[in-house]
Amino acid sequence: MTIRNRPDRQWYARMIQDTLDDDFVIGPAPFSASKAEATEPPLTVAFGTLVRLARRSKKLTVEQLAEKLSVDAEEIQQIERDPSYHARPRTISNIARFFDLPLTELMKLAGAAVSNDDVFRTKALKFAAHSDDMSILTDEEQTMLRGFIRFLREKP
Amino acid sequence: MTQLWNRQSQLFEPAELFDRIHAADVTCFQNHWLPPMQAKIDELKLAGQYNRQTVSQWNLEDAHWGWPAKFQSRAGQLQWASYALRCSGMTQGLMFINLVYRCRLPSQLNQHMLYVDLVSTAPWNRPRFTPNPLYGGVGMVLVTEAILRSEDEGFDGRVGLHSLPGAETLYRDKLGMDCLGPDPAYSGLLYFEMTPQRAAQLLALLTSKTGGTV
Repeated sequence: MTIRNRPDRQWYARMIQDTLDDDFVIGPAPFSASKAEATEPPLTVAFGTLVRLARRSKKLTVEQLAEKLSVDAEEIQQIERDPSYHARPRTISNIARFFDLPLTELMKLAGAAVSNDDVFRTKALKFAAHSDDMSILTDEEQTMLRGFIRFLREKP
Repeated sequence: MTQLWNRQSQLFEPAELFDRIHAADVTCFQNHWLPPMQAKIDELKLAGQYNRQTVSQWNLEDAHWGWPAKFQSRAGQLQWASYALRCSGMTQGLMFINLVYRCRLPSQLNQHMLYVDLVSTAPWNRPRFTPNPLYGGVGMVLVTEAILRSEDEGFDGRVGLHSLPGAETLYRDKLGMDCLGPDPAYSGLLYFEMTPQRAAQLLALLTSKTGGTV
């Protein structure tokens, strides 16, 4: 685990005393009729992250990528930012061709095909969870992007 | 190292936080947490009083969560992380977090955040379950760790969680999390999120300039 600055003992002592009689328990309610698992984000989150990082790795703006794919810049923006947006199959196909990515796997990420593969889902969501909006990819992001693309390409 | 408040000696005691639930913690749960909880549930059932209200009243909401099964099924999944807090040779608290959720709060919409899935404290620490609870601070240490992990992951302290009814005032009023109302997809429990600003305020509260490592 990373060693980082954290509140000191005095902070913990004060917070513990202030909340001594409070309940902290977090989790599903008992006797619950509805599904007792929080809904996970869709795979489109990973699709958006992949497109954003791949675009930035080629040092392209949203507008430049849209032009190369012959789609509207607004569609690229929606793909990158809105997990509820479902890209058109033609756009997904253009993205796959432009970034040299396997179309079948990309269709799953984009929500245009069903994936029941837990490992695929876990890797995709974990990948999506680790990126930020810096204009230049960090070494870590480059490594992560390359690793995830390798994983997509090596899928049987 | 961190610390817990011993309510009986009225002193802080050193505690250790592990960034993974180990087999020893699961064993502790099965051998020491579950029996007294199950005994109380059996007692309630025998008295015909086993219902949502009494389970909440006795602080037994987590008895049905199946920590050992979750420990098994989530161990190899990268999206999950877990924590165990130990003190005086026993597991005092357990937590599961998830790293792939996105914010729902309009001001943070779709930003990465850390989702706190489960937090429990040992039954002997629960004021409503036992007349002389032992340690205080288990929940505070674990939830603080979730905020710090969120910062470590680059999520800027963004944390989301569904609170059980007894804990709502804590998360809203004392920790200052934003309440987004009942979540119909999660038993109608209230859903809360912490913003980066609030996380920074909270962690800066009373922190020395140098900080420290626990």
